[in-house]
Amino acid sequence: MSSSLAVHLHRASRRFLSLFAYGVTDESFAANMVKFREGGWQPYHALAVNHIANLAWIASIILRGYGGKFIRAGSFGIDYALSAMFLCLLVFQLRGRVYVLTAIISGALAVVITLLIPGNAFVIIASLLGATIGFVIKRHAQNGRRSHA
Amino acid sequence: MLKTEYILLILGMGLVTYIPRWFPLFFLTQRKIPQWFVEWLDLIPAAILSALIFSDLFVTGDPHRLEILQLKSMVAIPIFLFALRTKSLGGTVIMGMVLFWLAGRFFGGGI
Repeated sequence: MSSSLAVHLHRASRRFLSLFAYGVTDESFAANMVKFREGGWQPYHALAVNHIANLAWIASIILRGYGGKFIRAGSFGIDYALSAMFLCLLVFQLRGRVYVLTAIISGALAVVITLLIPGNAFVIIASLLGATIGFVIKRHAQNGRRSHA
Repeated sequence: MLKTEYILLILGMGLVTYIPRWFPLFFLTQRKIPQWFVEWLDLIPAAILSALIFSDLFVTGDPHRLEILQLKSMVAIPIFLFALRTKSLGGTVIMGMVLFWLAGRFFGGGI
């Protein structure tokens, strides 16, 4: 994720990057990638997203410590909040056929790999493989078009 | 003392999760990134998000087992379409919670 973000942070200072890296999470990453692509999104905007998200997370943990017992686990469909959010973040990323194809391949790989090996390594393995296959297909399609032209 | 061991453990874990975030940022922003690598990196977000979602929707239990038709994955279909149409993050999260909650009331635990 940090590698993908690096494309957009080319002129940032080392100090900035060290501060920035602390707040890179799945969620802030996805939100920032969308905003960077739309344009007009400055590195310090992204930095603010990272750290506000992080602070909100810490604050919620403290809140849960005090008030968590008043909310029954699983009430109001709260379990689905994360799934829905990731689903929407994925929709933001589907900007063409290559992206859809990559998503399907990576998703299918993730399911297969997670059945085979325990832990969270499947996310890394599946997404690296999925992106690579997507990339190869994209290059192949481009070459095909060029040779026909 | 137990307490210092805990603090060291937490700091160590912090460092271990910090370095992989920091390292690529630090080195890739210092040099020119080749075009093919930019194109490959461009596909990474879709791949990561999809890997997270598919495993969340279709795999349950510990040890993991495949369960394609479950409440979570069924609700995901209308929610996916909703997200496609509205492109609204907040709206999708709220719709997702409401639908999942309603579906849970009507169908109980499983389909």
